Amino acid sequence: MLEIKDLHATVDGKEIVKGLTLSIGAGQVHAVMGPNGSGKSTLSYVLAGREGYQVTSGSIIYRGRDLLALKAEERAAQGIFLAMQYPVEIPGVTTLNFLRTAVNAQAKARGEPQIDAVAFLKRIRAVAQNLSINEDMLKRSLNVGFSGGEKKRNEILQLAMLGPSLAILDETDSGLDIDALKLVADGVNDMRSPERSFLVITHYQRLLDYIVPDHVHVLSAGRIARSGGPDLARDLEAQGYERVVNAA
Amino acid sequence: MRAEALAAFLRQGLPHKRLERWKYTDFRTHFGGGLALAQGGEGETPVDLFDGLNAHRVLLSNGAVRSAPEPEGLPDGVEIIRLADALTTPALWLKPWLRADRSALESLNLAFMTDGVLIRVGAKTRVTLPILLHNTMSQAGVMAHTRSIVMLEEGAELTVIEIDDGAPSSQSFVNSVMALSLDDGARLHHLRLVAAQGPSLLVRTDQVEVARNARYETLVFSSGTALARSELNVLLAEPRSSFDLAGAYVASGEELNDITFSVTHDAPHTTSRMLVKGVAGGEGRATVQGSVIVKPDAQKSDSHQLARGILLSPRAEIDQKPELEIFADDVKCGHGAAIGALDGEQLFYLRSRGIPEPQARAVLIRAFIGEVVERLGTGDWQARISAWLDSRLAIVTEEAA
Ligand SMILES: Nc1ncnc2c1ncn2[C@@H]1O[C@H](COP(=O)(O)OP(=O)(O)O)[C@@H](O)[C@H]1O
Ligand SMILES: [Mg+2]
Repeated sequence: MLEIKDLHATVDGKEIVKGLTLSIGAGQVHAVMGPNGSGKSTLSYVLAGREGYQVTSGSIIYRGRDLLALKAEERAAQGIFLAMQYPVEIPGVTTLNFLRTAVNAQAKARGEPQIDAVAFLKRIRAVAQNLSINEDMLKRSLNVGFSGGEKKRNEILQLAMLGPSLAILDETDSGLDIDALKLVADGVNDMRSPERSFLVITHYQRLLDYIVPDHVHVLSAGRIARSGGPDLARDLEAQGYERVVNAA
Repeated sequence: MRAEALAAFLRQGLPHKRLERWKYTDFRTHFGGGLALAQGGEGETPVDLFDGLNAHRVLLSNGAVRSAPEPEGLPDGVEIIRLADALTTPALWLKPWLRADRSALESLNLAFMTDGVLIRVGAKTRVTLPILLHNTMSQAGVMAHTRSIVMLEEGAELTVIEIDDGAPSSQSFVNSVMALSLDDGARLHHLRLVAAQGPSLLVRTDQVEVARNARYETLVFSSGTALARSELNVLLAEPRSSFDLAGAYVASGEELNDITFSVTHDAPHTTSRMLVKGVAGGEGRATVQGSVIVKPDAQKSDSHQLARGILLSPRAEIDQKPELEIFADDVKCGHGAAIGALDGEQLFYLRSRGIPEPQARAVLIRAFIGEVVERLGTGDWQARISAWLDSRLAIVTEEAA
């Protein structure tokens, strides 16, 4: 599904990702953990194609294609989705209109028919209900005045509506209370399938009790310092990043 | 009267940038000269955006009224008269509307005016259908000076929708003047769509006088014309009169959209609200100048003006200048102005969801001017204007890509 090889990336001329190699198979869930500032969000932006995140060497092959040759919107249409650590507020654009525009834009890029307005409404209502997002929120300006938890649930709503083949969750758990965390985890677990892969970025092990990963990686200073199974996450929680990384 | 007006024009000459009110819109440099007076009549009339809309329609084409409702087709209390007819035997009441002491272009208009309409709505008359003024200029190399008057008597209510269109193949100049008067308690909703295409110069000057408890609301949308200036001068003459302006522009190519207004609060408890938002891309330009004057008698007046613009390209330009002159002490007056670029984080967010960049820009700009578009409310003509704006945004955002 995704092959990252010896990736180096800079932001504002500063190298943040320093030789990262990671391979994610179809249907797998990989967790990337690491201390603040280790480059987790930078990696997610590089994958999503954000301008200003310059890849200086290395490669990213996604479903057999050179991902780096694609613009952000093209990557999205190819099935890449990033749930952002800090979802952006967009005054004047409702969640409903935004998502319909996005779903239709992706369909158009893939040569699929536009979604019928009634069918769309029916689907988004059902998904929103599962995430305890009320109708009123769908009609409000995107993320404007939303609580931290509401913003994160809104990201999962988008994930569910867009149905990507690679979902990257950047600290979707931060700022969530335990009930919201379960809602989000259930939302993600419902979407697990043999065709869909996940890259779950988190600072804490807590989320991984609910979304159980196939592989866990520790990111440190811009590269993968250690990889292992779900147990690695528990070791990290117990011993701290420093000891686990140094033991590698 | 025409000779006097011409003399007044010649004393001043065409407006230029050394005049405070024309600082950012140097008319002289845009005006190619050598234009003949439009003769009206011939020339093709574009199908207007409001085709098929249920309204009382007036078509003003190349300087002359080509069609207007017959008196029997109008509701009781509503009169629409051609200026050309009224001028053949000028009635006494017409005199005050034909003053030569105004700006140069108004004097020029008075000297050469050919036609226009006089709309009068009698006391307490609420007109349900809008009056639609379709102003079109399709001839190349001509200038047209038209003048219209809208009079609302006590308690009258009216909606006027205007569209300026036409696409002459070379420069034409439309210099139109409108005088509006609202008697006690009258309400006028005035919507203007400045949508001429191509190398037209379009200068419009409105003089508005608002009496006690009367309210003048105007919405201006401007896009597509080489030079489109909408100048509004509003006198809040009596207590509790109010004025509301909301405007939006989309400037692409090399066009210049200019919205200039001045509001004089000349009585206590008068209110004014002005909001102008827009976007400039390519080498497009916009000018937004607002001046608010609060006279000594105008205690408890309340005024606020806000102008905000978005620049889409390094060669685009937006000039905003809000001004306040206050001579009363117990008033509430505010103003704000800001110019910025589209937010990069917002753009990325939309794109990361699969919305292509030009479309993402259009979504953000539409959201930005949404505050103005919302004032339209909902309905048939509202939807048409909204669709027209989307088509203009598509042009400016494609250009920026
Ligand atoms: N726009 C930026 N300009 C300069 N440095 C940045 C920028 N964004 C992130 N960084 C730096 O890159 C490093 C990694 O940041 P980030 O990827 O956000 O880490 P994480 O998500 O793991 O906390 C940090 O040192 C941070 O200060
Ligand atoms: Mg981060």
